[in-house]
Amino acid sequence: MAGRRLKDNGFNPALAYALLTALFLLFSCYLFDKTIGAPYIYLLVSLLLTGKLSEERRNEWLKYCFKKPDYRRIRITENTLVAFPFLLFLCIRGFFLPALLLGFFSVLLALLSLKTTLHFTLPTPFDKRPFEFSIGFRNTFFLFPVIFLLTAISIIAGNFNLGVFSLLMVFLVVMTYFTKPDPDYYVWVYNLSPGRFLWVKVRMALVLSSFVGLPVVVALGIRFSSEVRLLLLLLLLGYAYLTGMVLGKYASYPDRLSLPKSILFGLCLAFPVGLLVLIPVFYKQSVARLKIILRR
Amino acid sequence: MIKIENLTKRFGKKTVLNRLNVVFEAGKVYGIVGENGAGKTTLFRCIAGLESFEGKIIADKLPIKNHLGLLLTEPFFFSKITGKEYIRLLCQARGIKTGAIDDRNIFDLPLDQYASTYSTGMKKKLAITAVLMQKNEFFILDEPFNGVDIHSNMIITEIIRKLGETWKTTIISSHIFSTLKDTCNEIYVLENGAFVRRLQQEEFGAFELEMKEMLIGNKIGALDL
Repeated sequence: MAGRRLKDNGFNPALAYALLTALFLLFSCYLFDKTIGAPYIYLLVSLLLTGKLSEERRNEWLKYCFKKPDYRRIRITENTLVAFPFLLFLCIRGFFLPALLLGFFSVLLALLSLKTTLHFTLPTPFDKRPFEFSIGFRNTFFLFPVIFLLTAISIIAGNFNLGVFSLLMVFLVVMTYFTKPDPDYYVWVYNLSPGRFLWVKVRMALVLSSFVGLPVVVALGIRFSSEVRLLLLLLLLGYAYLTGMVLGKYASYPDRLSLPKSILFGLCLAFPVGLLVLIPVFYKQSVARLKIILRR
Repeated sequence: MIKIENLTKRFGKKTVLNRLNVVFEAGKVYGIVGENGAGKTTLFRCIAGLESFEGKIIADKLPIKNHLGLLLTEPFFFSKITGKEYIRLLCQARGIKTGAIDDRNIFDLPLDQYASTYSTGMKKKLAITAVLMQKNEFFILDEPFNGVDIHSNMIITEIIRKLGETWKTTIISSHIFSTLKDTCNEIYVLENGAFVRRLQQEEFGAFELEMKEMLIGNKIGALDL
């Protein structure tokens, strides 16, 4: 399927895999050189990716198609494949404990199917606003106590980098709320021009992400008062990436963000200045895409 | 009023709708019947602006989409959105204040539960409730009776009648002819992307008999029951 998607985007799969490997290595080296929290970021990112494969409906379908032993084999293989690059890099860098943890949790997640349809309704502070945050929060609610715990540990231990990592996690988690394109009905229904629609979406993303991001910034700012400027800069960067993500969601609408655009966005993680170009480009493309559905 | 002039829709080389001309007037309920694949849903999507097309669709309130309550055959619900949040979303999108949603829950739906856990009929009823609360001028209801129980069927029938009485333009499709008979002022028969017949209320009964004769014929007899 990945190969098919690459071909659909006009890429030679072999070339794309080589490019993705190079980007992964580049990003990993950069991350490990820049922050001591890198092994934990690795652990979380990898588990987030493998966790997606544990989605209940997907697993029910697999169980329906395959016998139990085959199903387990498939799931363990899937998770191992996803975790493998992260595992390898952790081992190369000598972080054996996080690597061991990653291996353990990847196999454990392969044996679980995470219920996405709970029988009780999880309350969310975002239920008054449609709809990305209420759904996203319900999908990722378990990550927020972990993030706030990391913030607390960073404050108690005086580890600023860990605090920065927790802030980074807030935005990383919130950005996952904007990865899938909405069904056309959910865009069509808006009585707004494309520009106004994008403004509403971006404003909502920034305001609601502040509910979870600002407490982290304030807490860190009080504890590390000499680093307030850096914290504000990071907060602004978080907002900028989130804006890029929201606009990126509609830049290829109704399709998913194309691979070239995803790579460009990924490059901006390493070179944030690129956002100054990418955000206006995504905005223009989004307006053009949305005009078709919002202006008839 | 919605006026359609020479509406043609092609998917590649296949013509799905072929030069349709029709006027849907305010205060009337129109039924569209046709076999699966006749082009009903495509016609609705064209009117809504969800599909590109050749020809013209004009209305007394433009753009149509901003005044249109569109009920899809199978409404999509995100996996973790409650009934109440869905209604709020559809109303906010049109700039409508929802007020006390529970007071307007005419189908007694469990609005605090995730909509994705609803049965087919409950999903339909939720989608209808939301579309009605948007305060639209035009309504397109694609299979509004699909999967709903008898009690709700009666309520929906009354709602559709009321839409006609309150001067709304309403277009519905249904595979249950009796529901169209009970609600519509006119019925259009869509076949291979073209309207082949236009029926007035007094012709509904004869048309139903004709359909039975044509579609069922002596097929049942072949079973030798």
